Amino acid sequence: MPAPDPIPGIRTKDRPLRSLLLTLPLGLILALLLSGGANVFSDPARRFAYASVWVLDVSLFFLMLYKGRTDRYRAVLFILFAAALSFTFIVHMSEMRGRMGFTNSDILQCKIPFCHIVTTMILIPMALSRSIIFPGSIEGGFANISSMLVIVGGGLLLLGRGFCSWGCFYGGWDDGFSRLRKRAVWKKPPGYLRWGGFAVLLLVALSSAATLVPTYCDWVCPFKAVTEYQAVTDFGSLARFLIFISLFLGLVVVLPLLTKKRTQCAWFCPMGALCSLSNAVSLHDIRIDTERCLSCGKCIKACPVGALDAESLKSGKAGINCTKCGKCADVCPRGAIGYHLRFSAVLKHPTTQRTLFLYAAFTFLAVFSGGTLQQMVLMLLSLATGGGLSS
Amino acid sequence: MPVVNTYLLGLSVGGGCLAQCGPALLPILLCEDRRRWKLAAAFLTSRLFGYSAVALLLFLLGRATGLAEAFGRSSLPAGLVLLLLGASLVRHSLNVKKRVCGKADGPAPGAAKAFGRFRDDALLFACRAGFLTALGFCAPMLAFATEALTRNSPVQALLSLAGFFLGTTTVLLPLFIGGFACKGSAVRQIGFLCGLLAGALYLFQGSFIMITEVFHACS
Repeated sequence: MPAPDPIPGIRTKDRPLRSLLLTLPLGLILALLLSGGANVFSDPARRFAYASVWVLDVSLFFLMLYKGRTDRYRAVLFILFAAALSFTFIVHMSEMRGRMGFTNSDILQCKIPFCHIVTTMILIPMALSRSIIFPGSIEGGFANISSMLVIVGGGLLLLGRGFCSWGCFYGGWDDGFSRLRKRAVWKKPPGYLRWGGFAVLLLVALSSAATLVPTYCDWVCPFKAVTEYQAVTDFGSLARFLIFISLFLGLVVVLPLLTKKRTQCAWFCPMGALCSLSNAVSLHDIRIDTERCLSCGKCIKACPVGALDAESLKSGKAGINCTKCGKCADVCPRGAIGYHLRFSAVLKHPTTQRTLFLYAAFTFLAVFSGGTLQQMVLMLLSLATGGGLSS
Repeated sequence: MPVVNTYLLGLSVGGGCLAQCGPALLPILLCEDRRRWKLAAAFLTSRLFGYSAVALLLFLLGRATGLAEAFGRSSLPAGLVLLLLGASLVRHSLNVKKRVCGKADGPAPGAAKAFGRFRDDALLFACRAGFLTALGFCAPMLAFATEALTRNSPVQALLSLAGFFLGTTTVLLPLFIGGFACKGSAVRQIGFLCGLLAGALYLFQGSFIMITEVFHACS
């Protein structure tokens, strides 16, 4: 069946000058924020790292506006961010401790870096006992708890579950693997699996509140395989290590390859489930114009987290677990799906509503990833010039 | 007053009950839209029955052999109970899969058929889960057992059991309230997945305990 003609007034490609003008303010904001308050012009290497990251960010944003495609360009930065974070993290930890694994002594000295997924386990104990059940540094040090909580809180308020596609520094892993194959091998994974994150959230929140130990991090976090894990010293730590590796291979590599879905984020991540709850109060969401929609199902097939189904097309709203990646809007042949600003008419000014969302989301992603990407460029430069890997 | 003492004991160690019994209780509360009260009552009654059995057994063992021997040095019974509870949860989840997840997700695959050969009733499962969680030999249970073993008569042991049961049930109240408040197909599917994951968790815990015990015995 030939693709239907686009509806008049639905523009997929913007005018270059307009896109350029809209990109300029973001370029200025990023020029200020990417420096992180430091003098980036102090030496040529830092200057190069800063400039290359700025050029990458600004180009991607311009292309998003000009080409009218969101997910394609978002994914570039998102996947780079995940790879860069693991790379720089491992180098940093190896410098700090001499190895990827941490010991009981590191736990006792509260030297474990904090990641946003732990938020799901510390909230209830924090409310009940006013203490944080994670052996990390409250402020100061590497990846401290207070700064991460502020970033996550800000991200959730701004983007809702959009945080999972525009802020999470792990999401790029399964997002990347889900794009490697052209066609899915496992074409119709069961729909109920999209609630897996909620089941994991319930179980880990319950067990962490009761045992005062972040159980997800201790036992089942797949990303331990690409960041850090408890050094293998006994049968228990060996079992954990094997679980981390198996879950990483299964949920982050193999299943995304087979299904073309972000299986770890959609089916297993408790933080994703927590973020879904914040979608209810988020300013931006994804809406479907039910009159324009042909119910062709392309968006349902494309959605990487299973947030769209026939029911959503009827109701005109994406599911609560939508990560606002924009893939559905990119593949819709009728321009019937788009970003929507709460309290405004659905898809009345689609370009404006999309631009408003992109400003918020892309700035968050670019600023959050900026430091890590610059650090990776610096490390690679140092490696290329014979200085070895060092942070 | 043994009842008051053990009620307070139950409250203080109830966090452990949330961690140990909560995962078994969640699928019971979430998978069904109707007869939740009945299922919750069945869970609690069989749990009370399990506690009574343990209290009496420990009292008799304590009288006969002394405290240390009553606990024994082996964790094998705890591992076995966890394995049974895990298998029971997985089987129940696979049994309710088709009903909870709908026909769109297809009939139960081979694993579901293997586990669900004997049709499982939700009420029966609630009774079994309640009884097995009481036999869990978890930290709260051991705290209670220490208390029960020091009593001078079976009546006192049973009274302290009643207090302990009330204390730990109070801690589980938020789960009951939350469970009764949530309804809908998504909630049922979350309950089904909770059951599967919790079953896997118990199976893992049970196997882990068994393997560790075997390693210890060999070395």
